[in-house]
Amino acid sequence: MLRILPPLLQGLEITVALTAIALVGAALGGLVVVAGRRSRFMPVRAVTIAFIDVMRNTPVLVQIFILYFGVPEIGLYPEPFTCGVIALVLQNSAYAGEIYRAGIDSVNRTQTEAALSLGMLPRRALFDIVLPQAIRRVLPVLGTQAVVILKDSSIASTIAVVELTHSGKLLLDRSAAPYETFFMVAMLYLATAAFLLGAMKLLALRFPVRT
Amino acid sequence: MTLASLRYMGTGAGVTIMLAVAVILLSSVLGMGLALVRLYAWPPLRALAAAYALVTRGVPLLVLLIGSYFSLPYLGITLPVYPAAVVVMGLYFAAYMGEVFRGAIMAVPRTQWDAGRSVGFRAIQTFGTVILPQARRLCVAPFLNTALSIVKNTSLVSAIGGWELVTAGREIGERTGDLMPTYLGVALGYYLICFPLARAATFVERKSHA
Repeated sequence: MLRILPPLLQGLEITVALTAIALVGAALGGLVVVAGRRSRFMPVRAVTIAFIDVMRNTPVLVQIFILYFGVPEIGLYPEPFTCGVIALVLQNSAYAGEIYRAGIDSVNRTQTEAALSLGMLPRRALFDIVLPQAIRRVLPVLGTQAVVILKDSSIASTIAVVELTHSGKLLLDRSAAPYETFFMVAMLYLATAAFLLGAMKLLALRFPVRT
Repeated sequence: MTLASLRYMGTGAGVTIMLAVAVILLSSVLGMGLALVRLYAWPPLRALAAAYALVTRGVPLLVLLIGSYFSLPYLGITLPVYPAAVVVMGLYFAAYMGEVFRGAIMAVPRTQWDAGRSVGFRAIQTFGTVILPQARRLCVAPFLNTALSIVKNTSLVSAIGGWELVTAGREIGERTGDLMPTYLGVALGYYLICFPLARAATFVERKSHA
């Protein structure tokens, strides 16, 4: 059973790379989304809401297929890994944006009022008072979303990104030990998910919620 | 896109909906049982249920689908795709539904239990008459969100060879060569199926906050 570990670990490397890049991308993209969602301009808000709607209602698989099979028709030929990253970032930016929005809205309005009554500009009130409190509240939820990204990275295996699931599938065809192979794959995913959640929890401990 | 293609995709969408409904039903039933076990059963069983929930939330659905479906021939069993997929997805989402129901039951204020006892109800009576109806109201929003996730995850059945909307789209796309419009059509199909669910979920969320 240990002989199948090396190729699986190579796949895990790709999975971790995919997840890490998508995590950062979604975390940043979520900022763009929440900014657009809370914008004063109706067109910007409308476009953002439409974007979130589309991302929430279409599966990641379809998005990856559109990028990988559809985009070549306009001349660009993205690599499978890139398609996976872009699809994961787009989908999870929408979710991250909504998470940020919930976090910001959960900070009591009195905080904003207090800041404004002290003479702060609205933007300063947002960045110095509301956002730090909001970030502390959303860290656990972001941890859950990170695990979701990890699990969705397995969908990239359908367009031949040789990550963990794909490596497992290849090994399955070659070896005659399906149970061991997928048991190892499942264990590796669990271990990575546990690691991700643990890292997020450590981060949340460093920035506790002080109500 | 030709009319025949649209009708083909329509059939695929129908299969998607049927798969989703089957999985939602199965996972709800199993999830309710799981929630009750985690809340009220003998402690070792509760630990088992908690471990089950943890495992199914840490492993991707695709891995479970591929692993279980492609391992079956080695056991000598050849199950058709749809039942196998529904069973695996039902078991997988039972953990999510279990969390939804468990959260709803736990969210009912403790005082309700005391109120039931003070009126003379036994525990089971309190649960059925006082707690459950309140929990039912609380669980609608996360239930709808999980149902939405289930609909989207039926797309993975195409990865183990099942025929549904995505597979239909791929067949049409490969036959006509227009992959982009076809997959955009598939996306539109999912959007149309999911839109009512998402709307309902947002509506319920807003109602419980106002």
